[in-house]
Amino acid sequence: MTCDRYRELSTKDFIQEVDERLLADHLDACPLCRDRAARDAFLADPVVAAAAAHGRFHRRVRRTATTALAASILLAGALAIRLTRKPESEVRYILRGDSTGVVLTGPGVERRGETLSSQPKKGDRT
Amino acid sequence: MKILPLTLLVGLIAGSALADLHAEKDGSAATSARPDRAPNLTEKVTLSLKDANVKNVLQQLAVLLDVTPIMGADVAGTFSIDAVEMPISEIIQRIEAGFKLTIRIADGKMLVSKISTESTRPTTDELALDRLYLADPSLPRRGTGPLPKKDLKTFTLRPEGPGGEVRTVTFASPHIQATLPGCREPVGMMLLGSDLFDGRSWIAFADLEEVPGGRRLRGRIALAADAKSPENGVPVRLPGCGPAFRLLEAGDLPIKEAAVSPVTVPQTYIVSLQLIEVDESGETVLAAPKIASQASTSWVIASGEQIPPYGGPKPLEAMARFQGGLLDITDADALLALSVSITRDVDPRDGSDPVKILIARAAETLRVKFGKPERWTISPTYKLGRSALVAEVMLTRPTVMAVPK
Repeated sequence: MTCDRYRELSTKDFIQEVDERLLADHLDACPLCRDRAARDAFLADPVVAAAAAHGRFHRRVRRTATTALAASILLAGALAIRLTRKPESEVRYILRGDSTGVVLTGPGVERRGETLSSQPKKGDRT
Repeated sequence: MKILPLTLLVGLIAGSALADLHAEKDGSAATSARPDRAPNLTEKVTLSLKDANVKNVLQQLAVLLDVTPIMGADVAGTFSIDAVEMPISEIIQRIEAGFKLTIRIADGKMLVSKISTESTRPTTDELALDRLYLADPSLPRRGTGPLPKKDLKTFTLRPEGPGGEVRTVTFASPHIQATLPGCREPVGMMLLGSDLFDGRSWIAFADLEEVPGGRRLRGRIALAADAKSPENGVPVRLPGCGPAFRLLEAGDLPIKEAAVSPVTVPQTYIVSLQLIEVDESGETVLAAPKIASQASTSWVIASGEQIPPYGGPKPLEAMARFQGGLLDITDADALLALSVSITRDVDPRDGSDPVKILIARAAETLRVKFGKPERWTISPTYKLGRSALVAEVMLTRPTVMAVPK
């Protein structure tokens, strides 16, 4: 058996028993093909392992994306509720008043400034 | 994969929205606490003012900015404005332009003067001040003799405008609750006693007002007018009542007693007062009285001095009289009603009788935290605009002495 014939048989999915025996005999006889077969076997394992890792990676990406999409929908809903709410006034201090006095209201402030005219009025004991 | 940045952005926006919601919730619970730092000139204020005394407006802005207002005696006028969220700086600019004023805020003071008189400050000399007081017809005055004794406990509340029931209230104790016509809830009323200058009675009111997050007692304080001259009474407007009313001394009017019940709060507190003169250069403490009182009663503190030199048969006096009481008391703070009258006897030194001049009179209700001094400007135009007269009020609870076993 030649090395070319060995490569042709070794890439087939199904081979007959007689061909298997020929392959084994050639590997015993040809150090070149034996070394190549050892290298191929060494490379094949990581490819199989990488294929599994690749699958796990894709599953995780899909799960993360689904979770993120669900969270987005929920948060967008919360934002929409907030935007449709009547905006609350941010006014903290209010100054109201008329001729009787001025009231200041706000955080921690409760003051009522009375208007007490210093002008003597009718009836004042002047 | 491309959905991730979008998710992050939406998440950040929604997160900030939720954080805002949380902050609003916290804010509604914290409205009773004044921020540690006073608001600055960029703070926005919503205004609803109609014919308001511009001095009162500036005084309230000074309260907001935590500064002491010192105003020229010629600062006067009424101010009307309706505005939403106007920065304090813009309000001040409008007042400056509208009333031809210069307003400077520096070193914890708000100095207000007419542009035309900015450079002229009244004298500090006491005798010269006395002459200026005598020459100022706007300052009420009377003889230096004692006031006729009055022991009024009955007052009339006369509604403003047509209709409305006139209600007469008799104080069975200094602090009562009365059912008043046109008011949603019973109104707390406290009789603070008679004024130093003209003997009229001070009465404080406590009425519930709707505020964000609930209801809270709001105070008013008013000087009762002579029933024969009702136009002298200042209209009293309470937030939980319909029309405003004038408070009149009942005199010999027929008494129709309203339903009243005494308010008894079995708590004692100590009020420490300081009467302080504040001018551009600094502060001078004029008096520092202190009194202990029951929460359901009112008190009077008089502090004064004889004015040297005096050559007449009677000593001349400069007096300050504080009258106050607590309208509401909680674990952390109390609603204090306070009035003060400052008088000065002046001898014209021309052979005529000395006169008693009302230098300043003010009244206000303050919510004061226990253990924290609160300042209140009694007069921003003390000594005819040279300085401000300020009261510093502090409430404390008496220390309970441990009794050894």
